[in-house]
Amino acid sequence: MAAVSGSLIGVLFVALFAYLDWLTHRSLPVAVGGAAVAMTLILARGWIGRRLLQVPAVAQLPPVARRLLLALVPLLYFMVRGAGTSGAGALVLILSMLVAGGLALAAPSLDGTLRGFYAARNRALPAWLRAVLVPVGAILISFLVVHGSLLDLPALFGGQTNSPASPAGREGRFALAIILSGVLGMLLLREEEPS
Amino acid sequence: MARLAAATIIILLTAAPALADDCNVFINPEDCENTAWTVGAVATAAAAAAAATALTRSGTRGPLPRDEGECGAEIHDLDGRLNREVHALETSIDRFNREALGLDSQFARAIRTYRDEGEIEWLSRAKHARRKLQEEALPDIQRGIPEVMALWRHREAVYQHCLSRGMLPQGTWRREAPSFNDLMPLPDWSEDNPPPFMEEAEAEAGVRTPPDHDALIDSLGKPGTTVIDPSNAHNLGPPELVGPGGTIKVPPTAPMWASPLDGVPIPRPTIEGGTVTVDVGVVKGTVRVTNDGGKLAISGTYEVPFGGGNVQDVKRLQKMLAQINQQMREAGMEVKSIDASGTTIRIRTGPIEGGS
Repeated sequence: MAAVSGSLIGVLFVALFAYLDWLTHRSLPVAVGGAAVAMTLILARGWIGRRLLQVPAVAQLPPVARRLLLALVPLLYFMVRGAGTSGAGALVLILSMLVAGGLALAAPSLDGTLRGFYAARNRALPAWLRAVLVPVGAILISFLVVHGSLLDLPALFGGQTNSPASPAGREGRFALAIILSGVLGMLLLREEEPS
Repeated sequence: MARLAAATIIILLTAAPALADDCNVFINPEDCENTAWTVGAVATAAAAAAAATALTRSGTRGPLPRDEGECGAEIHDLDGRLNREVHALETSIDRFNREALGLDSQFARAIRTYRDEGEIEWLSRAKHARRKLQEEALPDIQRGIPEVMALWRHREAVYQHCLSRGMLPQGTWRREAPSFNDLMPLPDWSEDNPPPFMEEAEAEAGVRTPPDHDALIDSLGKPGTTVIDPSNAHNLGPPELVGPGGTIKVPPTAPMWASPLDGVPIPRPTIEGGTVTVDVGVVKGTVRVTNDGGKLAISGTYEVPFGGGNVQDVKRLQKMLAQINQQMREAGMEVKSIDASGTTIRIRTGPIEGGS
């Protein structure tokens, strides 16, 4: 069973962000243009990575640090385009980096314990399905935890919510959603690898 | 499938604004930016994307091998890349060290040429060769070493992974970390900072640069080469003319106009084509040293207030030169040759042929 391709995950997330951006800002040039640029960067990431690794300062960074720097990109997108006036930008950025960094550092020591789970998961779910489940799971978590009801999910496709809610004052819900989505990402995507 | 995808995209793009919270009004885009579900969806998706990025392997490397065949293939592939990169790096380091070592003799020759003939070209070439090593070869090597070590660490991790699961093909060996020779330091020689071995070689060959008049007499009384250059030429006059600290000492019998020069530091002369030029303001002169049948001779011109003439007509100078020649003869030495073509004057002395 092959590991989930980094390109596939990247492309799925870019498509999701582009749709959410269109939904909230209604600016086609930003949504489509931004997605095109991001997808080009994702598809050329091998070429870009090889050239960046020729810079001594980048080459000397541990792989985990390089991945965490890359992980800042979607969070910066949230701060710039997604946070609105909710005031949740800094909280989401800091907590997400803590969760991502903690999981990345803890994962190698958990790999041994989870080896059986990884094998069973890979037998049951094809790689592409696991890649799709990560953003889908994140959306479900956001509706369930941050918004408060899965029944309002049709709002994502033009439907109406039955329980309108403001994002302000929901820091605890944001924190829980971030932790849950991080753990879900690890359970679906993590492959055992050399430390 | 393609039609379905196209239809989905069209529906999504033409869909009405989200009818949630204030979004159903959509007076302006900010309405939709500030609902719990839209902000929450972007935030949670961003957090998931960050975690996915941090937890998945980046780059072109695939997943870890899962059976003996994959272990053998990956280790074989990594060994091939390591062999190539280690060999290329070793070759670069050897070449760098060889060229760095060659720079010593290249600089010695270049500095000697510069000193003797005033020829700057060889010095420029040596400096260019050093700059090329420092700015091109050295960064390549310094970048290459961590890259090779990172590749080796990956090979070691794959080896340990396969070993711990009993998936190592028979005969697979544990590879030691590559090690490389130290890089030779690059010399920083220049005309002002010549290589020490060059000075030693010159001393062994009897090349002397006397700092004052007494050392000059002593050097001319020995076989070897006495060097006069701008660094010592101004200080080689006799004690009755050169005071402490390289100042002018005006004799009591000198003309009145010379009195203000008493105690003035002697300026460094210039030497071009073997001709020494001295400029003390009111006194200017050019002097050329020649070999007159084994004796030192001088020629040239001078200018003083209200006059001037040839230096060979100045009795005091002639008397001084006669004393030097006399001291040389007493030491059994004569002038063999004078090389005065560049910025230095090199007087080669040796035993008087057939002399006492």
